[in-house]
Amino acid sequence: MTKIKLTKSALTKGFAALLISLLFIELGIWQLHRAQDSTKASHPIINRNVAPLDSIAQAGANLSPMAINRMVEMTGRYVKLYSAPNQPVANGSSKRKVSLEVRILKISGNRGILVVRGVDSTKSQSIGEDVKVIGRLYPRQSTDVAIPAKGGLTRLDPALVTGDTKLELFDGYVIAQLEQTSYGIAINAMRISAPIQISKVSGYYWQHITYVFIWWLLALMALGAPFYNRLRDKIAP
Amino acid sequence: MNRFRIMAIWCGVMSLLLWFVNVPTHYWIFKGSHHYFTWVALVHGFTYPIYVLAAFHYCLKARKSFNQTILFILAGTLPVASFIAERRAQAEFRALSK
Repeated sequence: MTKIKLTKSALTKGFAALLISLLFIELGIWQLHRAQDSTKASHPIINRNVAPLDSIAQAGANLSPMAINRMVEMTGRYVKLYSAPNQPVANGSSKRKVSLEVRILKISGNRGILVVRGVDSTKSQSIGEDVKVIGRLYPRQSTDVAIPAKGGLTRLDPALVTGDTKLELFDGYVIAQLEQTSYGIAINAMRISAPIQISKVSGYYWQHITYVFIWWLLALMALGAPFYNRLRDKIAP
Repeated sequence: MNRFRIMAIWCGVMSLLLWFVNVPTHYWIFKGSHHYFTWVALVHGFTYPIYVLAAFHYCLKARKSFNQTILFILAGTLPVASFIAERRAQAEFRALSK
């Protein structure tokens, strides 16, 4: 049996290999979580109960997969108005592109959320009082669908409006299905449907799983790195 | 040697498809709306570990240094690098055979 000399250099190499290995394991775990998230996105849990926005999401934090597609309610006051042109909207089995009216709803605690009120035909509608909004919560869009223009949103993403407001914004956006004044009077708008969003990319799950496998394989190899020369001399003397 | 050569050529082809077909079509042409070439990333992802093991085994047999081994392993992630690694390995093998 050969003795392993525990010199300072050997200890440093071992420690470095352990650190790198832990980093790779952590990267594998991160990819595993992403794979789990993509499964949840492609098989959404349909919960028809309307939940207060506060109870399922936090301002300034990423939306959890469990919050996506939930019906939410919140009360606040509209503070900013935008137009989101060229947005694809479900029209029966087909899709048409329309310009949407988007507002920031300021809610308690100096927080805000993007609310899609409907088709952008009611721009002049002034809503100066508190409004209760019920709608479906969606993740932010990641791809631009329109050309940048003043007062226009190229995609539905709160990151695009952070410079316009001091409010702490919730991630994602809500497509309003009902708006009521504090007296319970419904506010009219050209609503759009708010279907449950299903990720059709099941391939992404396996893509993340391959990364898990690669990172953990590299972690194993990093652990064995201090013994590389010894192994090489044994295999090819 | 042959195992490494086959995997290096395979990984090179898959990397070329990944970098020059999958990524541009996904981000610039279909802008995330279609996923015709997702299979490229999947196949590359599942076969890259086999390349890693083949490269590691080849480097041990060829008595490569640890740093060279790392470079050989990383070559499988870049479009042309694994072709270069394969050419170099074959040249070394021929030189040793003479």
